[in-house]
Amino acid sequence: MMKLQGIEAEAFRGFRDAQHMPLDADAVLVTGGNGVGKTSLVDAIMWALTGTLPHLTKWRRRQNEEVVVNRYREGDIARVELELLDGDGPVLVRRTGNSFATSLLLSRNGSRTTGEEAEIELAKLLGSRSPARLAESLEQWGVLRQDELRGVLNATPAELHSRLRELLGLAVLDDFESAATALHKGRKDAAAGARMRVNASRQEIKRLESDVAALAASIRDESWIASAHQAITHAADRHRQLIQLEIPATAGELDALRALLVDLRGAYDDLRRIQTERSALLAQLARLGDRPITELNPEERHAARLARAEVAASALRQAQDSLAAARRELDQQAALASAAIPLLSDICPVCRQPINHSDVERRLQEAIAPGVREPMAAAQKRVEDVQLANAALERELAAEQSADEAALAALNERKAIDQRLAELRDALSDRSYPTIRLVAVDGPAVGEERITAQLDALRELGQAVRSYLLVAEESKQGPALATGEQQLTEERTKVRFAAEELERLARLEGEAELLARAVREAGVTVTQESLTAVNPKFADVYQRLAPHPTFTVLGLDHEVYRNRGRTLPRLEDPLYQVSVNPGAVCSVGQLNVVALSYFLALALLAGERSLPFVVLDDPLQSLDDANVLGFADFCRHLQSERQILVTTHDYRFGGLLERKLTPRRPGRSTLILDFASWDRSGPVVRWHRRERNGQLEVLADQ
Amino acid sequence: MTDVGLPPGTLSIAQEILSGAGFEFTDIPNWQGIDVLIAEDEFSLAAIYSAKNVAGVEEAIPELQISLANWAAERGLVEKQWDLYVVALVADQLASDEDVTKAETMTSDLRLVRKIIRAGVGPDAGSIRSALAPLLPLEDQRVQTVEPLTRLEERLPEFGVDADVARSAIAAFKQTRKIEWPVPNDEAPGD
Repeated sequence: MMKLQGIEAEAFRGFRDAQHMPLDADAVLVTGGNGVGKTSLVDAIMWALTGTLPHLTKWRRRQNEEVVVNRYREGDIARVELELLDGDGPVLVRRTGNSFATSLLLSRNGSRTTGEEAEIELAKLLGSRSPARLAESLEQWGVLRQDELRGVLNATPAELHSRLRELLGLAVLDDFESAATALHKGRKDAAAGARMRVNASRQEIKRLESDVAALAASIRDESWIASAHQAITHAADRHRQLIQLEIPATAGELDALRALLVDLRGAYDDLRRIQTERSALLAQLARLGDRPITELNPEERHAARLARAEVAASALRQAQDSLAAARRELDQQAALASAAIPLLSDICPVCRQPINHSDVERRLQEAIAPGVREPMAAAQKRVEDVQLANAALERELAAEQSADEAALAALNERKAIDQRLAELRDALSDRSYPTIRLVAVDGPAVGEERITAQLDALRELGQAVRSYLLVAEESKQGPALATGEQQLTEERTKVRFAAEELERLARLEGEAELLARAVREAGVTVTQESLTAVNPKFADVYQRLAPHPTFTVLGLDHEVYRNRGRTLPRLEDPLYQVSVNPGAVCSVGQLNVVALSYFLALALLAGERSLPFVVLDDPLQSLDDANVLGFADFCRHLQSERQILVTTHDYRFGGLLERKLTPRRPGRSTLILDFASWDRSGPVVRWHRRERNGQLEVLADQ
Repeated sequence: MTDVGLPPGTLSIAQEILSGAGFEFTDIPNWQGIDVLIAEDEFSLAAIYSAKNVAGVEEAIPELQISLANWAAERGLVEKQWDLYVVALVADQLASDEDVTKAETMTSDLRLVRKIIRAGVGPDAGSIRSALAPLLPLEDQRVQTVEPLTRLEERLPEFGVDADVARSAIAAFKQTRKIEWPVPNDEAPGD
């Protein structure tokens, strides 16, 4: 736990010259008469830690009057050095300045910080979140000034409530409530913005609808436009048996008429394509004739052709055999003649004439010819005749086969045409488009007429619609109407999205509103519970001092009205269950004890925000002896919890406290600073220390 | 030891409480029939006396304070001469003005010993501890409360907020000091 170790003041308040005083004890008792500088010491502690002395402001006669710097050091700056000690070692707080500006130097663990950084570090060392919080803590439960003794009771109920909330860390609920409120506000604004956008869009839609209606009306009023529209109606009536369609009732609905024209054109093109294909198919069918398939019998005819070809082939083989036999006979006789030639001598035995062998052979060959050559020639002729006949037959059969194949192909082609025609009939029987429907066409003969009639009707209707659109769009209002319709469509889309967004944001707003309201209400409950829980602590401190014979219980009443909290001190007589405002029933002395109880209870309650010391500047105002004794006993217990510094102008009480605070165990000490007198240089201070060393009390003088 | 005013065992409870605070106990001989609890610690010497009403205290106090002071003197307890106490635990409340006056008179009489008179003391440890408070060390006065946001989170469902929502909102606040629950969607497609 951090403790005060010493202080040195110079040119500060009652200290003209530099003066160092030790504070390194569990209890520091400061005694002295009036005006000897005790309060200057308390101020020096406050000023060193906060740089301000707000209680002096009221004494200023002029705005620029100096109240901090010693009056005999005018023009100088005041200096206070406060020595502290915590678990990490010594801490030196050195503040210099005057009523209007100060400078802080903080030395700790060999490092030095100055200015704002030093202020923040100092606040953290003493358990506060900020220098401002440290100043509040010191004023509210750190340093009790004699002129502010009953300040705790003089605080307004709202101030007391706020002080307790801060003390108990309940201020975070305010921060959370603010955050919840900010969330709600943000979402409320977002929803309001979306609501405005939706309303603006709806207004715009109304305006556009009005504009478009006016434009459409102006278009209808033009007689030539009306006439064109009537032409559509008449054409539709005339062809009602062929084509069914709805004519938009409002002439201004150009988009609908444009869609109708698209369908009429589409239907015409489709029907025209069907008609063309259908006519071609019927013509092709007519060319193919109407020969039944049963007369064709292609397999039987093919077998007959094969039989005739076999007969011709057989005749050819016979003729070729005869020719081969004749050739063999001729070859045999020629061979005989050739074999006889070598038998002849070269000289005829008769005439002795030389014999010509070649001539003899030729003549022998010629001698054979008539009997053999004639049959062979006949055979040769027969072969050639058969071959000629066979070639003719082959051509005949090929022609016949080709004719059969052509007939079969035509038959298949007709089947395909019939199938396609059937498909086209189906297509014609149910032909619908988004805005029109063609009445069904049945049968090829009637169908052609109906198709032609439907084509004519589509053409006529299309021309009527197109004519209307042309005159409507070419009219001076046409583009404006189209633009208006386009804008209307866009605006309707926009409002739909905007409405969806509004719904989402409204839901989020509702959730945030519920949260904000619940946080307010639950926050009140949590605050009440927390504040009520501290009542016994106030009662405990008060009961130790017990200044009143019948109002023996001290507590706090907490109220919340319109989300504003109030806390009021209360004394209670438990026997009669009477609760009173302390100020209404207590004497001045009793009231001072009540105030002391509050202050000390706050100091002990502070928890994480507690200060390591309590400074009580002359708290014994108007206290009777019994209360003084009670308070002295309390201080004895208090010094075990906090380092205490008590000043008093009452030497009797000073003596009592010295005895009460004298250490009864080793390791503890009490320091008595005796402010004996004061001169222009400052207080004349003597001090001595009481310590317990073993079983012996040691009195150590300055 | 016999209790005079409070039920039997009252002084035993007081002894237990004081013992827990470091007091030790002794008997003073020749007290002529007054049953008291003598307790002593490093600071003080106290006689704890139980009575039915203020009249009983008034009757016993003269003998008690003299005996206690003499006994302390005999033992040479100079350093405690300002720390002698008679604590009277009175069962009845100070119902009459006469009782109030008597109690005030006795309390204001600082001769010999300091008199602490506590009326309306019940036979329970809490009541007796409160009566003995001036003799006891300060207890840890810090309020051991649940952290306020945690308590708020527990309470919000009672006010219609979904528990998950409460948890998310407080978790977000603890991190950023803002509440961003649930995370808003992107801008609407129509914007």
